[in-house]
Order: sequence, then structure tokens, then C-alpha cells
Amino acid sequence: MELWLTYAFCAIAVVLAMAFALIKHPVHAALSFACVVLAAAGVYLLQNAAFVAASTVVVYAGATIIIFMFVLMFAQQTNLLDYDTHKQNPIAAGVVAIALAATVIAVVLKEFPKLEEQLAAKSPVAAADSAEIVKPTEGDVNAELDVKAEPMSLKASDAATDAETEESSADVMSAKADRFTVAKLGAALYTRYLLAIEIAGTLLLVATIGAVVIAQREPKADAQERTKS
Amino acid sequence: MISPALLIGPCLVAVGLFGFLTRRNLILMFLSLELMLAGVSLNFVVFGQMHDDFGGQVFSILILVVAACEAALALSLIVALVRLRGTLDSKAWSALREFQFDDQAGTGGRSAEDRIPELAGRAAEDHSHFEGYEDLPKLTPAGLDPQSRPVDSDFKLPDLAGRA
Repeated sequence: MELWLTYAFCAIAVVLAMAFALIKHPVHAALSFACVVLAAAGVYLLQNAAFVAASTVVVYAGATIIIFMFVLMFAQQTNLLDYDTHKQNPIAAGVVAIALAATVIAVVLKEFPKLEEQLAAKSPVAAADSAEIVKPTEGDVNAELDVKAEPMSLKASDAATDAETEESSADVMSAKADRFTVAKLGAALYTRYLLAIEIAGTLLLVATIGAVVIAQREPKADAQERTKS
Repeated sequence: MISPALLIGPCLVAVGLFGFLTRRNLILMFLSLELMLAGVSLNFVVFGQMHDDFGGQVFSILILVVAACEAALALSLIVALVRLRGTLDSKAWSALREFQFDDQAGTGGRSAEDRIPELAGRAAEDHSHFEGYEDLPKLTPAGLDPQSRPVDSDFKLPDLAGRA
């Protein structure tokens, strides 16, 4: 079920991204970009990244798109202009983009089995350490400041019937969801990644000041306009 | 088994690159950049999940922060540019290009380097790029030797030979 949902979201994202690149009307293109971001947020949710999904929806599909729409409507007439209807060098750009995607996908497909082997080699050791799924209580979020969510612990499955394996895989899934809660992400952000978060906050502040300064009208220009009118 | 999300990350980056290269609307160019960032952070989250680590999610949050900063700065720049030219067309901002390399038609397949003398001669006679900027100091067009081809320009090379 989850896999099918992931496939569906991925298909929606890719199709709408193509539409974004090809649609001529800028407002429609911006809307399809918003839908791409929503589909990506669905994929985040399926990957147990609830906070990233929510903040992506708020920041991208909310703030960014709306403000871009404002500027688009502020600067653009209703009819389509020459620079929207005519693409520059579509063939060369398409070749470059397809080559890039093919290269990256080929590398991922080639290296993925190795990565899986490495991860598989790591996890049995961890599984041996903790034979049971440890469900942390809310209180000890602080206690387990080790950001590496505790290693995947598989239940020792003595019976190999289909029903039980299904159950244990469901257990593994829910255990994974337990280990990637928003509370633990917050604990990680404010312990191991504290410096990064502080720098990000400073960056936001600087960008805000910069944006205000750049967009400001110069007082001289204002005075000139007033004398004109 | 490989997650499909790992494969659409590169696809989103490629589509964003295509959009950035082909679009001429400044705002849609910036949206294409955002699409590339979204593809990258998708892959970060999936890989982080595979490694059982919060690093991927944290990094995608940082990418989100950078994207928000970029959007704020880009918008204020676009607003300033639109005030000056009244259009979102990125071609309205090609004033700094080498204007004499404009037309590729009728070159007979010769490269720009071979055509330098001809182009330089044309540049020396062509003053159209000064139109509308009469009050600004004029510089010699790039690629010309100002002493062998004096151009109507306010910039004068210091007389090094005489001083030595």
C-alpha cells in the first residue's frame, strides 16, 4: 500500500514537473509547481518525515508560490507575451537535462546494491544488541540525545509463517515511524545540529534585511516623482 | 528494493534545469531553481531514512531555509528590475554582452576569433550601444586595442611609453 502511494506521488510529481516546464501561461506553470511540491510532501510523509513535509507545504506551496504570484500579477499583463511563448534553445537544454538525469540515475542504480549491502551488514549487529523493540517514553527524549535513531531492532522471528512475517514487517515499519517522530527530530536539531540551525536562523535574518534594503525605493527617486506629479 | 523517490529526485533536478535554461520569464526561472532544490532535498530525506539517521531530514530543512532566503532576495531583486525596465523578460538585461558578436548570420562558418578584425572594425564605427547612456562615461568596447583603434571613449590609456 505504502509503496503504491509512493509510486503514485512520484508519478504525479514528475508529470506535473514536466507540465511546469512546458506550460506557456506563467500562472498555470506556478500552480503546477505548487502541485509538484504537494506531491513531494506526500513522499516525505511516506518516508516518516512529517515535519519536513509540513514545512515544505507551508514554505513552498504557501509562502513562496503566493508571493511569486503577487509579483507575477504585479508585473505582467493579462495576455501572453513573447518571452513566455518562445523558449530559448529548447533542444540543447533538453539534451543537457536528459543527459544529467540519465547520468545521475545510472550512478544511483549502479551504486544502490552496494549501499544496501553495507546497510545490511550494519544492521544485524545492531539487531543482536537489542532483541526487542524499545519504545521510548516521552520523558526520555532528552535522555537519548544520540541522534542516530536507535538501530533497527528486528524481533526474533521463530516461526516463518506468512502471517507472522507480515506482522513483523509491519512491526518494523511502525518501529521506524516511532524512531522518526517530530519530537526526536526537534531533539536532534537542538543538540547535534544546533550550530547549523543557529547559522540558518542568522542567514534568514540577513536575507530579510537584504531583501528590505534591495526592494526599498531610493528617497531621491521618490522626491523626483513627487516633483513630477 | 530501490525506492522510486530516489529516481524522481534526479528527474526533478533535470526538469528544473531544462526550465531554467529555456524560460525567459525571470520569476519562472527562479521557480525552476526551486524545483531543482526540491528534487535534491527529496533525495536527502530518502537517503537519511535508509541510513536510519536524522541528518537527511535536517539537511532538507536547511535546504528549505536557503530556498526561502533565495526566494526573498530574488523577489526583491525582480521587483527592483521590473521598476527599471517594466518587464520580466531576462533578455532586457543583456546590456553587458559583447554586442559585436550578435549576429551569427552570414559569417560563412568562421569562428568568432577569426572574425575579430572585422568585428572590431564594426565595433569602432558602431556607437548604438551608447544611445540612452550619453551621460555615462564611455569605455572602449571589449576586445579592441584602444591605441591602434581609437574609439569615441572617455577612457584614455596613460602614455606609458612617454613616461619611461
